[in-house]
Amino acid sequence: MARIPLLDENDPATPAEARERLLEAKRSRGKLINIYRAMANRPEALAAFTTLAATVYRAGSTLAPQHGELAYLTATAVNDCFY
Amino acid sequence: MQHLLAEPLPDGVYEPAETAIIAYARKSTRLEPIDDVTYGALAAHFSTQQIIDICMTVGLSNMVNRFHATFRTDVDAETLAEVAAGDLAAGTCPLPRPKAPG
Repeated sequence: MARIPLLDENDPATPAEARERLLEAKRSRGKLINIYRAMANRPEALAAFTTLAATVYRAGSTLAPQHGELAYLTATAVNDCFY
Repeated sequence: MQHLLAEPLPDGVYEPAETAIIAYARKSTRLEPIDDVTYGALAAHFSTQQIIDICMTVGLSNMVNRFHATFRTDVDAETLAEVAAGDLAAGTCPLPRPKAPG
């Protein structure tokens, strides 16, 4: 059980800015996963995270996809990822 | 995924450029010094801009791992379903989740 709320993009109670940032993250990554819903508690941080990820790791990266994934997944493997 | 921690890496699985990324990502994540050999291997295959993207992607992954460890984010049903269906690429973390502390 997460320690903070996971804001749902389809919930009318989700604040407008959080919903907007969630939909931006969805467009950038192709699907919404819970890290975005958790980060949506701090919409500005979610926006900054989405921009960074899109710039260095996803669509805007200078790397070939497999190289980006190797950098990302090796770190996750070393950290024995908690997700 | 299972090879990424192997020491040494298995022969014939990774290209030299990929080996350079793995060696760097390990050291950076473990906060070990990035010695000239490790950096030199990256520089032999990648531009400065690409090395910056590699560096910041490793950092991004570490940030995400810390975020999950801090807030214990539940794995969403969609991802669990995809992993259960055998799509390991969908699983953001196909490694077994460790026992919760305490």
